[in-house]
Amino acid sequence: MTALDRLIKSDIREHPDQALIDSIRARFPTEKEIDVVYTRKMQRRNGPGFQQVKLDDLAAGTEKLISANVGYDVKISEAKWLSGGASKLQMIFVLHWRGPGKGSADVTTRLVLRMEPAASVTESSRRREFQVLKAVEGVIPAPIPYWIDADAKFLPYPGIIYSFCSGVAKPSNDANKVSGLGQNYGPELRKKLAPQFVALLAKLHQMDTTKLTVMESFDQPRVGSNEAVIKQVNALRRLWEEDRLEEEPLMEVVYKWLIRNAPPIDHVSLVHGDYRNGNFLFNEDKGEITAWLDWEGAVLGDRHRDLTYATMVSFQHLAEDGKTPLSSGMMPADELFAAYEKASGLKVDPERLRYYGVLNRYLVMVLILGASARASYGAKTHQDVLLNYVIGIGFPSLSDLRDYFEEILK
Amino acid sequence: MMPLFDTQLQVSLRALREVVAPALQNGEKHVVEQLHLAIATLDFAKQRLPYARRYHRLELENYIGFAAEVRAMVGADQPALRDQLAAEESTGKAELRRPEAEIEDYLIVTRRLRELIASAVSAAIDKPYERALDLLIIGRQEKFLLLQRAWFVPSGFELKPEDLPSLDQLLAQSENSAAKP
Repeated sequence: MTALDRLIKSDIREHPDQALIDSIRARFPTEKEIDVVYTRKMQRRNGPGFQQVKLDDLAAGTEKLISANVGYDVKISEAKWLSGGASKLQMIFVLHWRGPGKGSADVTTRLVLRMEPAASVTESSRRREFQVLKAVEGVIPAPIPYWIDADAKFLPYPGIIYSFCSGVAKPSNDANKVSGLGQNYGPELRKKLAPQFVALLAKLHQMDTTKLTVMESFDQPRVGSNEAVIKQVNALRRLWEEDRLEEEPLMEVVYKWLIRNAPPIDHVSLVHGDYRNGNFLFNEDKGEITAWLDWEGAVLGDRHRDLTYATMVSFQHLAEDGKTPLSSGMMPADELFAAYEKASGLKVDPERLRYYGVLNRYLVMVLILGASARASYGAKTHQDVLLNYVIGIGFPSLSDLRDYFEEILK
Repeated sequence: MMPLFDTQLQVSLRALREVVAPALQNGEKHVVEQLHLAIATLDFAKQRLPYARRYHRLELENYIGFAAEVRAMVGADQPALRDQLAAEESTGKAELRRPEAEIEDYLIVTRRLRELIASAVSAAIDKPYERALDLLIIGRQEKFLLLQRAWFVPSGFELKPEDLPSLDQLLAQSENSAAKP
């Protein structure tokens, strides 16, 4: 046996037995649907690596899924892979069907299949993603969800089908940037996009969550309680426990602090969870946001989670003066908070900003040095080479968490 | 004659950069993206392979020292953990002295020490030394992060890589220590 073999064998997480899975579940209780998804991930980990899916097979499965839902045979054409997105496989296609009503005419609709691989940088529920897209329909521009295969009856892995949205994620003069992190839209586009960026966030957080009955896979938080916040922290801690290749002792110190200092929720909002530059499409000529993407991390919780996420250092760049940091490529953080307060009528609380500043930095660490590293190590995704490469972001990010946390402790 | 791993990486990178990449210029976007990431990954390995042994020796050395500090702080209250830490520190020192030890042997012990130190943090909740231990962790992590960040500089994610000490400077610490390879 080589030293490499011994190292691999010493990793208890790559082939977890049921006792390990159960003990982690018991230690870090979280929302019911999150528990289901994470448990499934751990059970799947003992299975084979991700098998590359052929486009024809995926198209055939998609036809069966839609046919079963509409009650007659449909055809799809022009199926193509959609690039972008580190966490899910996406296929764009044209559906030939009778349309959403009861008409019998031939209707063609351009749609997107979004399917998860065997493991993901953001392990999430297609059921929740489908429900949150239903919830925001008509309120926030976003893909319209059509059908779901939550238990992979028709597809190799769970997936959803939603509308194709027009628009671009990057301005044409900066199209070669690999990811949307720190996306710079330039001064002209920025002027048009920034007010919409804030207004849509305000609108999202103002939605009355008690009326969002479609979101049945989400636990409803109680105002005045921090129970939901603790569940969210535990979800991250559980991922760290399940996925890490090696421990970073600082993570345990931060986790303790997050549990002890979890603030009660003063207003329950629908939180996007990944609200930043690069995560929306826009019409470049008009400067209009056409669709918000990547809703898989959405939760019911505290608005400050989105506010601190959108203003994280990783997503900012300097303005043309070379010194003013623009949060999410839009505006300085203080201006963003002031504009948000004005648009939403909801208070921005500095104490909560500090708390969620720690939580979001902890989240980034869990996703990069935990989920991303584990998924690529186990050959579980269609983007292993990307997920492995981004591990390099992990250490500047851990340094950022350390420095931010040290300031808070002072 | 056995070709060097460095040569094998060099010839693969040349083939991918100079032959495959131009041929795929108009290929599907996600295919081109993965090719460039594969090239960047191999290039990273080529740059870091010559440093790997010294890096992992220094990391283990750092964690042995860290574990001893934690043991001194929590030992009286957590005797079982104290003994586990002491045993792993001894194993780590033995691996550093063993000429045949491989990088993965160092990693196995470093990972165990990392786990034990983190378990000391959770076991310290509400103990009189809790805050002191937390501050020790935060302080030590600053030093270790410099080494980790220097290692990953070729990945291109550092905003100001010139502000970091070079890997050569950091590894020189190991060469000056008792754990000379």
